Amino acid sequence: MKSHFFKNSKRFKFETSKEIFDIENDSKTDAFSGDIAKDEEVLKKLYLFPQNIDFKVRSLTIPIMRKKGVIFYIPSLTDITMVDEHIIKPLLTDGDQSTNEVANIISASAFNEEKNLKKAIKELNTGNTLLLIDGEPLCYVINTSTAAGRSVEKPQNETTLFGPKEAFVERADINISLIHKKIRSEDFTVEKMVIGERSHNEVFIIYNKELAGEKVLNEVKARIGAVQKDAVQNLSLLIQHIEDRKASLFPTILLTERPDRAASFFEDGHVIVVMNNSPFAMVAPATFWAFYHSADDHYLRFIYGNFTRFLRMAAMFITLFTPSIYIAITNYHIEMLPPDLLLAIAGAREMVPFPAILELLMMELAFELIREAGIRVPTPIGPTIGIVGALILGQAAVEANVVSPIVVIVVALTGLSSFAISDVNLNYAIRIARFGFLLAASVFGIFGMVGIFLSGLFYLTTIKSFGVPYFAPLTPKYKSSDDTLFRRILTNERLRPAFVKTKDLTKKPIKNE
Amino acid sequence: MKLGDGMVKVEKDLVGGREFFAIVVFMISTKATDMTATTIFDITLNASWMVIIGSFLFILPAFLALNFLLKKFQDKHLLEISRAAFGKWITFIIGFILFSILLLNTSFETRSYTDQLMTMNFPKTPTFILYLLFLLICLGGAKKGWESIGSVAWMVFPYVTIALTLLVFLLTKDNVVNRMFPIFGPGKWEIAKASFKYISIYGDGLVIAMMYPFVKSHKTYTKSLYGALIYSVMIMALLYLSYALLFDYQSVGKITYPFNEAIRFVSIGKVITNIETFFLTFWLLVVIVKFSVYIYLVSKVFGYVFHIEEFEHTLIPITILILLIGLMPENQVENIFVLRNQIMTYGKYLMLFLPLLLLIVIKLKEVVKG
Amino acid sequence: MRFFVILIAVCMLTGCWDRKELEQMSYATAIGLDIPEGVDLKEKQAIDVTFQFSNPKLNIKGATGQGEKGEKSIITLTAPDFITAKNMANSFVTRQISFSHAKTIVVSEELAKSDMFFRFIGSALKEREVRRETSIIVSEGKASEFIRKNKPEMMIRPHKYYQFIIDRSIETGLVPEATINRLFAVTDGDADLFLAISGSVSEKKEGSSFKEEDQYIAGSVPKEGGNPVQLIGSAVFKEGKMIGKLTGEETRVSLLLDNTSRIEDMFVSFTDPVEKNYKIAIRVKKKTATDINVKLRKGPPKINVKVPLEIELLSVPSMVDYGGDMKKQMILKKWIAKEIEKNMIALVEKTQKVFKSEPFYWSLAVRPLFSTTKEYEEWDWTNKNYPYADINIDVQVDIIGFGKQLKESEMEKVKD
Repeated sequence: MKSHFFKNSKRFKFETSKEIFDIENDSKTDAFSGDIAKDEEVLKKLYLFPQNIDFKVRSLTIPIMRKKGVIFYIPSLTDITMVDEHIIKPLLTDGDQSTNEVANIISASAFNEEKNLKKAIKELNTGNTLLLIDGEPLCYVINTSTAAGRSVEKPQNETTLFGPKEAFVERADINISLIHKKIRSEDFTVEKMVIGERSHNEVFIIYNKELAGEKVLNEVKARIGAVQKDAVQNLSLLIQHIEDRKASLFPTILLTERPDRAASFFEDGHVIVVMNNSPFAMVAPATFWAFYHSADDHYLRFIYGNFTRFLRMAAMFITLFTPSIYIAITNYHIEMLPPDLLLAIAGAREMVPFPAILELLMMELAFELIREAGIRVPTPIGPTIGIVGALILGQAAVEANVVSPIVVIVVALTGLSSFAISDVNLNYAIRIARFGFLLAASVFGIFGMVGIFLSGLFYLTTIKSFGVPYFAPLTPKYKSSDDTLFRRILTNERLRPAFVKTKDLTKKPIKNE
Repeated sequence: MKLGDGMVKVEKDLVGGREFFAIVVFMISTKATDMTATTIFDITLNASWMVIIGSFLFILPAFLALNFLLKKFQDKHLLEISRAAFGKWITFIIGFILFSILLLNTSFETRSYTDQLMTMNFPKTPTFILYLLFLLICLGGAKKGWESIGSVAWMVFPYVTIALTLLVFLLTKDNVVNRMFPIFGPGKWEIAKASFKYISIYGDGLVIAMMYPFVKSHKTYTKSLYGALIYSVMIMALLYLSYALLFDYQSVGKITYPFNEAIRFVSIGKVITNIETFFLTFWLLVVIVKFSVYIYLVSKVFGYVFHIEEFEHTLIPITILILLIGLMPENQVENIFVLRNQIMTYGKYLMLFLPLLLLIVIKLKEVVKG
Repeated sequence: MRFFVILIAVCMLTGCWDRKELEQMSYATAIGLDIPEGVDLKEKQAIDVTFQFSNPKLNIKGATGQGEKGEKSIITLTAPDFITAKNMANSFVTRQISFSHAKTIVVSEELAKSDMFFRFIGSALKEREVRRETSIIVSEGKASEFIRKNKPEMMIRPHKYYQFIIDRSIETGLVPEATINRLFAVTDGDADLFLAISGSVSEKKEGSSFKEEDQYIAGSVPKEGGNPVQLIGSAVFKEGKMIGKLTGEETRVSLLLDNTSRIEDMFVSFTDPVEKNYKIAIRVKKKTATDINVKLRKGPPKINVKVPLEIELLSVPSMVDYGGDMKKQMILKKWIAKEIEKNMIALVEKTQKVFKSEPFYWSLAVRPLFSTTKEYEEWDWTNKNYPYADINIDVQVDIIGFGKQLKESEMEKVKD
């Protein structure tokens, strides 16, 4: 995942959004004076005007109003052509009739008045343009913000065969519109919260006001509101502030880069959170199944979709257990091996100097290293190099009798299978957990494995994501469409999952997908 | 209805019907895989499967009586009902006896399962280490609480069922049906006697009434409990029958662990042989869940008897106690044939008569009150 | 936490308790048991144990396989019993010996005929590695010789040899299925005879004069080349002690009468009923289970046995047209039924008179007649009833096929 970090995020105003932090203690002292020269001086001082080149002041006289005015904007965050075309040009044009209403002159669409200096500065910081007019103790905030960014591209991590090919980008407004365009409904609600004492990062909470569970929504808002940090640059960081168990191996909040996936969670009554600078949306609550599923499961036909589910399950099983089963069987339960396989392994191990567990740990570690390196290699061929490296390394290790060929097979199979787990967080969790199984198997064979497995399972059943048990609706049971290990035929998926405490449990058959 | 209290309560500590079903099945049906089978086969040979059914019929009245009482008192568990019937002191004594039985039984059974695991799979590992580890895992489960145990039980249940079905199916290949005969084995009277003797096989189903307030509703409790009992009876009878058909009646009594021998015997085709470890895995899953419930129940009873509100804190000391008691018997024979048989013999009267006595006393009280 | 890390690290590096790398073991594929020479078993418990090990080196590229050095992977030693022999062998075998893949126990006839056999096998079952599905082969000579002389064609690995040849022989019905589990079930049941696989080493070109294909006992099958070790027929055990032998044909007949057996591919030849100097070859299959009806009455019981068979005509060298002629088919049916019946009655009589018990597991058919084991045991099938029972055998034959050629060529026309 590569991302450009725009240090100065841009802001934008959404019709439905409301400021959370309305209360300002010293609002009176920060009011505009009405004296344009004085206010101009204050702003210039604030922005260290002559040295700071990323701050522009444009004084002008408005012929229609016969008044002096000043325009402030930050060029790096502002759409300059818009300032030229829709603000300065109309203001300078001498119209037929005179008017005192700025609204009647400026042709920009989003536009409002602001009396508070501090708030006005916040708006300015997001890239909006401020217009001060002599004699008026307020300023006009004109929505002109824009920032450099990439356009909507294909998803990188969650690819599908039949799904839409667009992914979230680093701009929250675009992300919201990507979701919104899939749900054309008046229930689509976006709320804005600002966190970060210094950097004022905006967080957009998206939910369906008719469906989203009250409890979850309040919980999300409360947790976001409670974040005490100077700056929370993006969602990946925000999640670590608000998740249920911060040191847990398993993720409890889903990050998705697919607007369609976010939208389908939205339809089920989940709460979506979007931030600037994050090409992701966060989904809460997220159960184990949310991580296990992929978008394609539903886009493919019933049988094919479930086949991929089955494959993913098998992949998870293989990733988690193959190395440890190999150790458990070859070290403790030899009778399980058919004689030919037994002799093959024994023969191959004859020349190998290390115990099987060390052999396997070495190779697993090597594979993980190659994989990690593959991500960091700054070219798209990184993974390819990694695989080639793995092949050569494995081949050479076998030739040199450092490891036995069967171990290379086990490690390769494990590594390959781990790629089939599409969710990055779950992928990490399982890859790490397998080392636990490996050690347990080497100490107590299958007994150790079962012990670790059950301890893990016991632990997982106690995890909750925003009050929702991790394995819901499998256990504890909730009314739902039973979209867990396998899915049902689409027409039979009539219920929203009850664990999000949605207000309307039944889906109207035609409404979805 | 307890459900009416709102969604919040459902999430906390109440388990649903499926989870409760899985717990009871695991607690009871494992008795077809341990030394209980050995002791029963010792007496009733090829008719042992009838003992399973017979015992169930013997104890059924107790179940019905208890269920009636539970319905009447709604939010009360076994000992709370006893308190309502007998008063504080007698309940204390009953509770203490129940606690002792549960504690000793759990100790001897955990030890027995550890020995079973050791003999068949880890012959060189010291008993203490394996036993400690085994109890630690169970303790971990118990610590996570009732709801968590239920969830885990239900999650592994389908896979265990699949494995069990496979086992039974594979066993049929080597089973000789006529080995079932002579149908009554050592005789009808012997079967009846043995059935009475082994009533405590189903004692778990009565003790689980301690958790009655933590099951969603009376209806789910009744449905799951009876469902689980019938299912367990079926599984156990089927397994007991399979052992007899596989080994024949004179040999089966001589085998220490019929279950382990049976899973060693089966094979899928001619190439995939020796698949006992596969079945062992599922067996271990079930056994660990089972003893998590046991340890939890022992603590629960202990907590009630000694008025410890947060009985979860007693889990660790009680597990240590179990470990110490469990380490005392020298070997399996002493453990199972002497010690646990004693508990089963005396425990069964409590299991059998407590619910009936409760029913009578409560009915009498009602009559006296008018 | 730190404690666990250390524990795990120590365990991993030192190998804890039950952990054993699989190359640290030697896998016995066959175990041979003999009476040591010059030892009287009545005075001293001792046994000659032969282990045949699988050679994992066969798998390493470039390493020599079994070849001439094969002898090294077979060892014989004298020990008090064959479990302790495992440890004793380690005085010269480098690795721990594992029985986990031993699927065959070879016993010499001499040992099988002694009381000690059942004791050795019985006590061996306490050992967890000894499995109940292990097959028992009784060899005519020494078991160690049997294992040593065993040179399978195509040099296949020893475990493959035992697995394949036993499976195949059971399919053809020339040897019985003889697992330790069955030995125990039958011997503990104390009502029937147990049949073990009979094997022999024979270097002779002609064992004895030519007979019908299945009338041999092990060691007498005339052949040239190939493996000197033969498996055919069965050794009869009564109460854990060998008391006699059955030929291949007798074994087949007893398997046909036994409902617990699985014969799949049994080729038999019979004299052609129409042209008596020719023989026809047929495949025999059981149609349904043999119906054994035991009638209790005063004195010895009456037993009616119905054997429904399906046969398929495989070759008719006499060129008699059985396919086209219904009359001849009837003759053939009756003839075959009569022939098989004859064999069966002969075998039954032999078992009644010589063995005084039956190897067909018929006690199973008797059992439902009793409601308790006590009654059943007192009635005593094997000692008081079977030898004197009145046995009636009725073979029913269905011809289900004529191979892939329905009619024979007419020899007269061909000769023209």
